[in-house]
Amino acid sequence: MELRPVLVNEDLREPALFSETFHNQLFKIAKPNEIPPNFYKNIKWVLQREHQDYIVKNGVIYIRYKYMNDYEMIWNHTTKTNNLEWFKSQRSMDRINGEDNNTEELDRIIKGFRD
Amino acid sequence: MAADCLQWWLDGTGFTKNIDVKWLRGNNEVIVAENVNIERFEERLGLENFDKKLTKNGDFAEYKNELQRQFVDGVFRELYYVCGTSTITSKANFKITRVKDNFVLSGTIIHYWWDRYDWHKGANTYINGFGYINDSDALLVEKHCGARPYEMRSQWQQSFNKTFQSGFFGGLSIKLK
Repeated sequence: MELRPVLVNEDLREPALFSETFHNQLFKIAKPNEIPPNFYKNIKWVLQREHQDYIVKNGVIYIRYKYMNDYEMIWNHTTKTNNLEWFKSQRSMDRINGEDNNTEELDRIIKGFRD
Repeated sequence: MAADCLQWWLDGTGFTKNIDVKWLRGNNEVIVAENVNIERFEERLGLENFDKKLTKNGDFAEYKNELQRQFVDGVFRELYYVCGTSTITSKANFKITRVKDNFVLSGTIIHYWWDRYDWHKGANTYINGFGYINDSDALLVEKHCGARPYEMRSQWQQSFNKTFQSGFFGGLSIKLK
């Protein structure tokens, strides 16, 4: 199913009931005007780094239903798309691990935060 | 603690309040949330295929990542009246070293707990015995009595030094707990 950005549900009016079982009630799918600025720019890189399988069809990113239904994990991915410090930590980790396949892409993403 | 936090808000300094780690981790929901993040790190470490990447004795790799867990305690628990819903951000920083046929994982997870003590127009809060109290009442206290929202935070660190063996069919089953 289509991957959509997920945010914390600040509008939760009721006390969360059975919050372990119905954990998704703490989150919501972002409305078009709420989509974090770097989400679509950086999400594929985040998914790859998090070992999350996905396909792209006609420019739309699809992931398995069971993954999309774990709102908290998608919220984690969503926040990472805007977390410069996390990208820097991945850059530093790759350097130490001698993995230079992603260097250019990571540098481009990090530069994108500064521009 | 709930009364202490309410007083901090009424005092109106707006200063960040550090919440006592011992008290915070005395709440079962906090430990559950901490463990959820640790288990997620275990899953991710298992997918990194360190047994294939680290082939020679002494080879090592770094693993850095962070995960967040949202949680809320029940309406009969004090933590609910301190923060309602709050977040634990767990930052892992590990070094995995091959030592002969074993893999040694060392490093830390730093857990940052945080929440903002504030109120939202249009929202309400359920208080056991009183029912739903409008956030707008609290906003009036801010407007006319000088109460101010503030940040709450706490942080603690877990250190790890564990040895693992590659499974018969390859792959590492990493258990941090």
